Amino acid sequence: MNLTNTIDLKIRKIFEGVILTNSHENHLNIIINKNIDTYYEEPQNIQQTYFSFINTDSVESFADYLNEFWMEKGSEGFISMVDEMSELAFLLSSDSDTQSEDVSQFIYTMY
Amino acid sequence: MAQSRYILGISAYYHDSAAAIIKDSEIIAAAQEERFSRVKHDPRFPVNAINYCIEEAFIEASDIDAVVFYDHPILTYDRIIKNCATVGEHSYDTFNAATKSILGIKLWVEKHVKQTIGTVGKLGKVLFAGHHISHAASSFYPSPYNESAIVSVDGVGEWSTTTIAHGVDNNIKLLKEINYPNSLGLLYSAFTFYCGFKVNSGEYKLMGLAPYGKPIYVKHIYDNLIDVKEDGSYRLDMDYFGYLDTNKTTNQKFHDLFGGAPRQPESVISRKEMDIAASIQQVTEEIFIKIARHARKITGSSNLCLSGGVALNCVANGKLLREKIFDNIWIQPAAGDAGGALGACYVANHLYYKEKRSLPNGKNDKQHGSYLGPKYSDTEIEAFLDRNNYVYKKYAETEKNELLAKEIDKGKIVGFFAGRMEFGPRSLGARSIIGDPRNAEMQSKMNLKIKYRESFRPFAPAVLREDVNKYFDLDQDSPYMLIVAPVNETIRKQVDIVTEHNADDMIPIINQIRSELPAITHVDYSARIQTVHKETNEKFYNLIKAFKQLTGCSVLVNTSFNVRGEPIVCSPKDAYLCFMRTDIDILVLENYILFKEEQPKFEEKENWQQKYELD
Amino acid sequence: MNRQLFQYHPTIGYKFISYLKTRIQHENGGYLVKTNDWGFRSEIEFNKEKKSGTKRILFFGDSFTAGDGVSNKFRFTDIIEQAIPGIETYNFGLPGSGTDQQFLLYKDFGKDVECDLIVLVVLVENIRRIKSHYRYYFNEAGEKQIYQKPYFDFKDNEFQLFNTPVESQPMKMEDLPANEQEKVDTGGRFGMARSIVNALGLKEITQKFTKYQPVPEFNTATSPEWLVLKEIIKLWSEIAQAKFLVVPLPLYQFIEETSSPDNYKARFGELKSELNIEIFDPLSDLIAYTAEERRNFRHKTDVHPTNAGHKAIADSLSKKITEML
Repeated sequence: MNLTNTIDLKIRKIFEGVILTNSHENHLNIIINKNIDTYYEEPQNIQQTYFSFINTDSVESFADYLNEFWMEKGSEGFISMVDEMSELAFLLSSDSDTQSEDVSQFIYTMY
Repeated sequence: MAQSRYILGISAYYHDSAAAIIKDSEIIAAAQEERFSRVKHDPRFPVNAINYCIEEAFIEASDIDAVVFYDHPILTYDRIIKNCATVGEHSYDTFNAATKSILGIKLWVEKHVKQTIGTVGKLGKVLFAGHHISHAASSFYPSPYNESAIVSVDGVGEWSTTTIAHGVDNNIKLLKEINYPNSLGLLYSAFTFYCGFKVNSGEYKLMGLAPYGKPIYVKHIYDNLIDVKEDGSYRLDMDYFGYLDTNKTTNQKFHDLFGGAPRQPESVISRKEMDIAASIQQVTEEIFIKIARHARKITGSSNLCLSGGVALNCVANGKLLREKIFDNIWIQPAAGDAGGALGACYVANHLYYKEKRSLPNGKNDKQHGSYLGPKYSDTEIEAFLDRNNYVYKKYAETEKNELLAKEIDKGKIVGFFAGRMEFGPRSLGARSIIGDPRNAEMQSKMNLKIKYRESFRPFAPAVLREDVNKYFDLDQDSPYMLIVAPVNETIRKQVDIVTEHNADDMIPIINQIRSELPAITHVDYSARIQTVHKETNEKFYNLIKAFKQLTGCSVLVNTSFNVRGEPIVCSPKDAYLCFMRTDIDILVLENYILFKEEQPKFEEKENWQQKYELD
Repeated sequence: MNRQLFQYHPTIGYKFISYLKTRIQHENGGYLVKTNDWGFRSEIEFNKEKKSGTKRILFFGDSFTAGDGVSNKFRFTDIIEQAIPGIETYNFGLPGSGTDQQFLLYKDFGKDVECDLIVLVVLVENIRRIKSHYRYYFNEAGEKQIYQKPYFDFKDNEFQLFNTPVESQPMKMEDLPANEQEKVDTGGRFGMARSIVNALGLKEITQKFTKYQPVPEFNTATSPEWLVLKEIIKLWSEIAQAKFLVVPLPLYQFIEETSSPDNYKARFGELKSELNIEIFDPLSDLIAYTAEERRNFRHKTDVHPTNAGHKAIADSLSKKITEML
């Protein structure tokens, strides 16, 4: 099986495991309510709103990062496949590498 | 002595990638990638802009303390996942594409930084700043205020679409937010698409079209599309929008609401589009003003800093100014995503490193007129001209300005290239095409023969700061062309009102002479004003001054140095190409002047009109 | 590349634009280039008169001397200046040039500069440039363009300069006469084959198997290229206003011991005896490093020296320069 097929299968699996299993509820604020005074929300005062680091040192550490991220946001329903997501991220990353051994284009940049 | 701290900020992968670098809270450089790559709104990782920023700082990449990215990819992924979960099975294509894009590319900023500059700086890891805190930072920290309300409104960044924050000293605290899918930016973009313009770049055209129409759809919009509270908070009725489950902003229900399919791009603009544009513009202004009032109320501040793509709506900014809700308003000139690169630098400096803030010393702000891009020396320009056998003459500054003033007075159009390139979407006299605003034919000539763009689009005046109130109902700085104000009654001319309101054809309306400065007076007697200041752009200031001495008029038409679909020129080569491809008569490269008729025969291998996709 | 780096020069062909302050993107992450009033990569302005109490060394060479791939301060010339007290170094390196152009450059810019030592760095591969009349260069759009270059040759029993003044505009291969088309330097003896091998990632393995000889122009003492190079060095040494040192700079194949240096060493050995000039070859110092260190003397794909490579060259040359001063 080629890499593209592997990636697509993994995405499908995550889609079913995460998206479809959480699809029974509305996760967005889309209800219009004429009876309330404001639609403003208090900011999600999580660190990511201001500044933070993302741990992508290894498949394991990124999975841990995702796990912690959704736990902190109170989105436990989304943590079931963080290992698969992390593996997928590393797979996608390696797929996008374009290494070239060609002669450097930087030699003798003239005029 | 403590070592200087250098922070590199990056904005990428969405639209308008950019880089910025600051040194001890001072902006050293900032530029959009499109200017170097020559791809309009280039979303790619900004390798050229990053290189330029480090070049301007003239430091080794390893001397950079921190590299900061302006957006949090996992927070964005969280939003997309929850969007897809809300939609269900039909969202698979969106999920597939988003997963590949975020987990495959956007997550790996650190890798891209290392590939580009060989290091991620002394911090050892890339810092991710939130999208809206970056916007807020981009407007507050360079502003002249030690304390200010901060409002950011854009399409969407991670979850947020509208935020109100409060900046005090070196801190910014987010106070209120409106989250996706409710978005004033996306609402405006939906109408941009519906009126046949490109989302993410055509919003400006919709704003320019609005004064031609009557706002007859305002109630329709409020009744069906958006519920707005008195405090400016709002929620969209998602039944009318397509972006939850498709890659379109609108859907069939939206189209039905406005009586049919969207206008096809490049087709004739009808009165319907003019009226729709007028209506959504009015709705946007009303919401914008309500949000600002609420920001004033909850922060108690008399100052306001604005950013986010919606802050580029200079008509709304002008209305906000005239409401006098705030004593002072400062708008980040690179208010869109590109400015996020600069904001990210400031987030790292003042929030992560907790660096104290120093207010501008005797200047209006710390943006340096937004002249933050590359400059080319005389030796570089001369080498370029000689290498290509182009015909030129070098002039002393005064002699040059006198010559140009005479030529502009004769109706000549000048490509003006001087000093450091502007950061942000507007040309401010460093990479500008200029002409005589008194000339009745200037608007159509510039639109059709220079810019190759829609004839309805107005041009902006660049006016000496000290003379602004002679021509316009404005007496304050507007150095970034972000405020629209009325042309003074004293220079207005009466037009045929009957023709105005009944016409379905825009051309007769456009051709009406509305003031003594017809080329810059829009259909509603408004103008998008740039005040020109000696302190920030002496060369441009002196040119306008020379024109004033010759003609008594201290205003020039100022439009961006590019053709439609092309990024604004960056280098002498870009400028020369644009000069030769259009009806620009004279090219000014710093102190070198080139006349079109003296140039060698111009031949191109490629068809540039196919190269630049229409925006 | 956003900025133009070079400008036309009628004698040499081209030179750096004065007062550049730029950064060149590179596989190592990029490097800083600053040029001075005279149009050479330098942090300082050049003056003809020397400061009292300072010894001054002028360096001439190609991109290896000019420092392609590294910032000014990491070049061997700048490291030597830091390493030896009381000296200043002037780097007249010109990327892409041959010793012929460097000699012309010396006559235009260097011969009236007060100094204590002149160092001519001859990258051994560049002997091929001696016989070429044209070179390929890339413009800022990455397009190959042919430019004329000056060259010396023996004609009618005289050593003469040709292609002067140099044509300022690029040329098309098809516009050159057939005999001149052969005189276009395409960037390496086996230019096309080399790029294919490199693209396949087989360069080092192939070179070992084929006993690759990168500079056959050194094979005999009577090769036309060697005779021209020798004559240029002879003329230069005769008019030099200070002590004169020739440094044959070995290619990485010699440093990494994938090719034999015997032929070029033999030629420069003969030169030393014939002309009675100082020759210093840093090869023995460079091969004393471990194989891994030596590989790190050049970039991953760009063969120019890395910071470490420049440091190693500087360490080697410093000893000889100190001795000569």
